[in-house]
Amino acid sequence: MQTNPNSYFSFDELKVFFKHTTYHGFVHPYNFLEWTSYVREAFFAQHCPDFEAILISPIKMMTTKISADYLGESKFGDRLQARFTSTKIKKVSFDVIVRFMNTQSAQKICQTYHSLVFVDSLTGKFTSIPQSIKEAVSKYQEPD
Amino acid sequence: MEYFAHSQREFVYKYIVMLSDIDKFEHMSFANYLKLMFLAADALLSELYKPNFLNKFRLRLEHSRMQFKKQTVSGDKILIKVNSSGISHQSFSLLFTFVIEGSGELVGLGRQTYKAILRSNEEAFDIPSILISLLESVQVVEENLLYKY
Repeated sequence: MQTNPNSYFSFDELKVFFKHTTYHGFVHPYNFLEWTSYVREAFFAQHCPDFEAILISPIKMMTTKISADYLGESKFGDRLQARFTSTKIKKVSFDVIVRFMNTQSAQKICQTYHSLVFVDSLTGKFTSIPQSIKEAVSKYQEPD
Repeated sequence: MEYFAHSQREFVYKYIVMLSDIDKFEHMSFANYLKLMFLAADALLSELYKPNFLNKFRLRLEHSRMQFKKQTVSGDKILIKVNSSGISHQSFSLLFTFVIEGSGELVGLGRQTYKAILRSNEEAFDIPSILISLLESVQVVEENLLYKY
């Protein structure tokens, strides 16, 4: 499987509206966590044709942990680009890194990191990452 | 109080998982647990969040993380216990313990680290004493807790 360490999946459809802002006018940090779920779902929907079929099968994808570093500020009207990469791809799990860039300032304003694991709901045990998902995330893998 | 040493205090926020929280896989979407972490923090700090405070200070989130231990479904009653830790001149952390009411089953563990910012110059500022008092009322020593946040 080929890996390009410089490649990322780009999700460019994020724009800051009033509902994303706080009393002080900055993007509320929760939004980056919600957007992280949008980015990963967009990635899987675009790269894994059988993604929905996998998730209505006994195989379940579960988030086990997530962390976020808030590095800068963003305000109403800003456009954001989210850059999706993967790392630590193992047999039953992998990690996802999403970097949010403010396209106006070209600054990284947030980075989230979350871990996904696959479980067979019939047995309750961990199961291998489905092939199409493993192939997709491997193309955007960063060094561990 | 059984989840912490008896001398340690906590703030508790209760939430009942609603149908609107549930995604097509019949569990609460992971982003909603993160939303609850922010709601619980806001509830703890709500007494302070008046214009005279907010116009002078803001609390900027520097880092957050959460571990997910158990999925929840519509109707589950979640207790979110909030404690503070690592209170320094300009920053502090909040620790979140999500449990199912009654059974005490652990749902998740969260952590947020904030920095106090003076709005006039947007620079770090000493945490106001009124906030220190509030944080100290739920302060814990992390090393003494059952869980790692």
